[in-house]
Amino acid sequence: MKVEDLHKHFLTREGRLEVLKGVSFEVREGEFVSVVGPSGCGKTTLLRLVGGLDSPSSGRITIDGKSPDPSLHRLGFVFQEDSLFPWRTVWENVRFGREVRGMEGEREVGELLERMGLRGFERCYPHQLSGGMKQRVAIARALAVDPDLLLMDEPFANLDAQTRWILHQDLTRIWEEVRKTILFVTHNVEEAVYLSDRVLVFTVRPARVKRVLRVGLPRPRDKLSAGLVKLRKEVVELLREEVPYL
Amino acid sequence: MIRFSREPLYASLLPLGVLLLWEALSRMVHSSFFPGVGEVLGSLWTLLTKGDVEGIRLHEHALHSLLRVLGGFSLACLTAIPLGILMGLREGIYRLSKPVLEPVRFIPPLAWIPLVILLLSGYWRYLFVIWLGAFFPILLNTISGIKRTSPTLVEVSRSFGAGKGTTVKKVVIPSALPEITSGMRVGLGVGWMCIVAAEMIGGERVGLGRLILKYSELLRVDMVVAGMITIGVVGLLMNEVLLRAEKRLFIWRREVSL
Repeated sequence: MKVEDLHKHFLTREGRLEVLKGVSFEVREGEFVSVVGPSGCGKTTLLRLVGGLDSPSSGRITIDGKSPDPSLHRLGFVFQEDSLFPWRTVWENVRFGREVRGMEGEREVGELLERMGLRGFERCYPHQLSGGMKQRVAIARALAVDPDLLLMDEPFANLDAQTRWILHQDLTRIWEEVRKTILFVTHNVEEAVYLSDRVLVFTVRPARVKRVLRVGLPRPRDKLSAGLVKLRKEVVELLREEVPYL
Repeated sequence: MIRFSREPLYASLLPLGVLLLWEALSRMVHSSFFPGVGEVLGSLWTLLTKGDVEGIRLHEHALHSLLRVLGGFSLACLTAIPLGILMGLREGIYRLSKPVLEPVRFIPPLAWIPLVILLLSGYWRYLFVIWLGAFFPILLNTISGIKRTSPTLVEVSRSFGAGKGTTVKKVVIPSALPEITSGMRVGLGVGWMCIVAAEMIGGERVGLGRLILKYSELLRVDMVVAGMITIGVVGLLMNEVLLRAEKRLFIWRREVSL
């Protein structure tokens, strides 16, 4: 996936709001890339553009050489907020994307639920699940279409620290098993360096890529290892240049 | 719905009090236009077993009224739900039709009656009056249900490459369904409340509304009250049945209110 000189502005009542100003980067197949940046810097906008939910003002995004199009590319989106269909059971939620895309086969759904630690919850409705479980279902639903690209928009932001920690480990394990290309947006620095191959640090709005950091540590990683802590410090310092009170 | 079942004692206290008050007032007033509890119960019994002055029994009246209401209600569902979905999806259509729909909404079915007498005949009169009562609650609930669909859920659907039609079918309508159904329940209730107005002009001699009108001409207040109570009880039962159906149908929702 390639992003070249991406610009995006919105027209608001107060005038033109520039959100992205010349963002360029690349994500290789099977790579896990995080985007961190100050709150409201346009990370979510970027993800929506990459996912083809919105179109750029100028610049180019290509996935396998073509502009992103949800009906063309297989994309898996995981949102920050509650995004499960409340009238569907866990099983039916995970099947949703497959139904839309006309993909047959129930076995894959079962395997995925097993892998995500959702066995025994197949018939539950979302309101019966905890926040962490809901996000597991959301991830399973995104993975169920066997996506070319998994787009995750602060998927763990609303979870408590402990649950988030467990999901980090699980996501790492699953990513190693399925080797999907992931673009992961977060404002949590610890999360970004722990999970990713590379971390893109964004500037304040209008956002550009400020720095790209390669993590380059073998998995499984230890959040408190010297290497990760050093990287965290580096990212935080970069962000402090943008937002002094951080 | 207030859950009375837990405190059956308290639950029966209030109706009992109302009955007592009614009886006491009736004895104080001591007028044939203010029947007591016993008299009305006796009239109900007479209506059930022997029928009214024309020998039509209470359940026949109720059944005819029910069929008329269900007819008008079905028509209201068939018109209001598709229209509501369309108006909920298309802001433009909603805005354009608002200046027409909004004033019409506040014209009571009773005000339509002279016009209905002149323009319609037979069964159409019942259908129209009841349709008028049931239509707006269903329409408005459908619109708001559709509009209240979470944008995130729509995006989820889009992100999987679903087209507009698929998204409406798989996301928008299912998410609006509880509100549509509760609109239907309210609509049925309002339609039922229009039964007297509808039967005022329907011509036939059978129906709960007709029963009340018949006896009001004869100044038989006890019979009138018996008819009123029947309308109330049948309405309550219909509401209860639908409420239970909703609870079963929308088990995925935490609660169904009212």
